[in-house]
Amino acid sequence: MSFITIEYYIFLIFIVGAIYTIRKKYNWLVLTIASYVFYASIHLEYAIVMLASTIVAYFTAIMMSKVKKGRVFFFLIGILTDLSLLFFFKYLGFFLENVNFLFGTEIDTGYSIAKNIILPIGISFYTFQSLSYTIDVYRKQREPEKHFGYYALYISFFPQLVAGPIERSQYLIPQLKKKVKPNLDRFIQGGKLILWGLFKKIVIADTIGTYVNHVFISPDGHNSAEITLAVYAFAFQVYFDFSGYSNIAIGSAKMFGIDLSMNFNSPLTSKTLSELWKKWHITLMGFFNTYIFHPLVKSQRIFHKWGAGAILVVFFISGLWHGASWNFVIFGLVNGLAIVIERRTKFAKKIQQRVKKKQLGLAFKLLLIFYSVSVLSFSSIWFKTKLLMKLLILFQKLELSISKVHE
Amino acid sequence: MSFLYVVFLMGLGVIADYYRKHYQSTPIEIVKYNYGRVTIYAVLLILVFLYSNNNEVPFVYYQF
Repeated sequence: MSFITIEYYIFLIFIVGAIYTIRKKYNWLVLTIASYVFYASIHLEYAIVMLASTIVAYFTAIMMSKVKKGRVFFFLIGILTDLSLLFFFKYLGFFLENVNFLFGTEIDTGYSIAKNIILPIGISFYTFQSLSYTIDVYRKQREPEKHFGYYALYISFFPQLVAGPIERSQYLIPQLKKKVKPNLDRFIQGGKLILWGLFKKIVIADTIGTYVNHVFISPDGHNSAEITLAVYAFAFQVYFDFSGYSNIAIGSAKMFGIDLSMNFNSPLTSKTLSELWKKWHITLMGFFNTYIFHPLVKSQRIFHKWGAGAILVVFFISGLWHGASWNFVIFGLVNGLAIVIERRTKFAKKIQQRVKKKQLGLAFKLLLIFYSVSVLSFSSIWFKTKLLMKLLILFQKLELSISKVHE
Repeated sequence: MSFLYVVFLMGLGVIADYYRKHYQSTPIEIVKYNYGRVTIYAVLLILVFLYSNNNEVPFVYYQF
């Protein structure tokens, strides 16, 4: 059941109706059952994997709060369960390919279990929510949730289950516990957001996508201007697709009286790449900031002295999070490197200061926006062209076309 | 599909996104409604219906 099908909206209205009519103390039960039905409608086995992850994280958190010695043991069980699920379903095939390449082994990845595993949709999102909960409980930043139902709903809440926003438990669980009263204004606001999301997805992203696919399938039949436009258009397609999804998710949640976090803040009008990544997929970057960047800088002397290293580590992981392929790692590292340059060079620092003080003319602002969107676009085509060679051919074609124009 | 049409859609998307961004984070209690803006939502609805004839394209982030 996808957000762009009529079935989803019939389902949504039915659940909203149920929430407003049944006794308030059973809201969590209706939403949890609805969330599992929603997920099982995509693939039944996926729901079982999610339930297993939920049960382990719930009990390890409870145990962490009960025992005085051995908290680390339960913490590791919680963390390793989520990480192993992610590794098994998402990275095993990629890992085996690299083992074969490095050690000259001949593990048959083509027929191995790794290649036959279907990636459970949304696993990268809900395992991250589960990880953040386990870490927060371990750090004593929150008490473990005693009610299994609310915790299960926090992990499975259907509007944000498949592709975020990735919420922290301190923010979402209290909202799930609130007793919701029928509210027409909230329903209308949610509906408006959903409509904007559908507009971005169906009218903008999918239509641009048709052009992008056409050019990327046969770059030989297109000139340099068309290829360049396709490269930019692909970044726009990804953005409108994902931000459209986020709008629909946030709008759906509003109908239940729940405010999900903002995931995008118009990143395509950013004047620097640092600004762009603060406004793009905000909840994921927030996760990396809280659980990877800050601990690295605080605890590791090398990263404390050399913050750029921590930025590169974060973007390396961010790239890998996007997909089990070196293409995605390169995507992450290119963006990380550009941010490091922005932070280190004197010229870039001056520009950053002028951006902060709003001392820029319109032409210069547009030039900076063009720069940040260009870095994003030329690094994002790794998403599209999974084969490195195909991408090199595309660049070669682009270079040849440009040199012909100069001649 | 024409080159200019794609450029137009990209620009339209950026403007629409910028226009809508404040609604995403504003708490429900402090949002003031302007029910006079029904026209723009009617236009959006018509556009969505017109364009939804295309084949259903899965969301990009489903693969993650």
